[in-house]
Amino acid sequence: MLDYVYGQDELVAQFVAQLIPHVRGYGFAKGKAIGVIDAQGRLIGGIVYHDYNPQSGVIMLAAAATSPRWLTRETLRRMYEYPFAQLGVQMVAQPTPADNERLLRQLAALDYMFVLVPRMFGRERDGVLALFTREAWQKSKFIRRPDLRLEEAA
Amino acid sequence: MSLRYVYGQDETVRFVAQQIPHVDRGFPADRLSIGITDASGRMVAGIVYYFWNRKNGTIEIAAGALPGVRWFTRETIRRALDFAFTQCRCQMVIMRVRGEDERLLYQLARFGCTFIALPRLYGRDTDGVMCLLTDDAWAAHPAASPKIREAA
Repeated sequence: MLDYVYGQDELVAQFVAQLIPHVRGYGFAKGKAIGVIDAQGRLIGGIVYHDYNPQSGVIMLAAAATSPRWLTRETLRRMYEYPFAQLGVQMVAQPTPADNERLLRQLAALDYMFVLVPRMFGRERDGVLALFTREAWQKSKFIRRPDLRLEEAA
Repeated sequence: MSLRYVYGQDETVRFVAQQIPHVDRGFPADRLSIGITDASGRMVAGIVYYFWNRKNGTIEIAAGALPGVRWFTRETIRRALDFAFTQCRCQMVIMRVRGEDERLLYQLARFGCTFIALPRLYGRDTDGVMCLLTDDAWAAHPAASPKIREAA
């Protein structure tokens, strides 16, 4: 059984930054974060939202965990509820090393679109800017969402 | 017009943010800058460097200028890119540009930038372009300083 922690943005951001090699030592710009806690009360995963641009409706997302058990449907629901349902962004962007095939497969299954960026993570390491639009989130069969009829009526 | 260059002033960062409509929230705190003034000391243009990632060797760059001012000279370009490639020791400079800004894209193409189209970067109906300039591409350009050409 997982639990979710809000309001501990800095702590969760540091945890996530430590788990991502290309972010370690730099951290994230100030933003919101959600921590994922296991049954023993240990922080096993985190989601960080940063560089939110309200004008363009784009936010960056980074996520990492120490256990594969963190990525449940409930985690996915919460991961995208904050940017799409609460902030109302039109797109979430997630820079990812091109050699991280496991993550790219997961993102592809969610219907992210990929843009290859040469040398993004170093002279010899390309990156992929993974983009998840609001429409893709609304159509995704893996992610539970709030009632869209209510959202549209609001 | 004689131009002067000032480094590391907050005024430059504010100036550039004011010139670029989509930079409504300013730049991140750990930014660097070069301001460009005319002979009377009036700021006419500025360049801001941000998201400097030393490990990846990348840095993002944004520039803004007063309309009608001739600031985008060979000397300005040389200083702007030498700062990123020589002083910051980056392997690539990244500039995000609105897809509709054809004039700027044309200028950037002349320096050997590679363009990556990014759908919806500036909003649901406004695409962007990520312009990438590598140290190799810059070293091959005639405007690059001899030091960079030798290093390549």
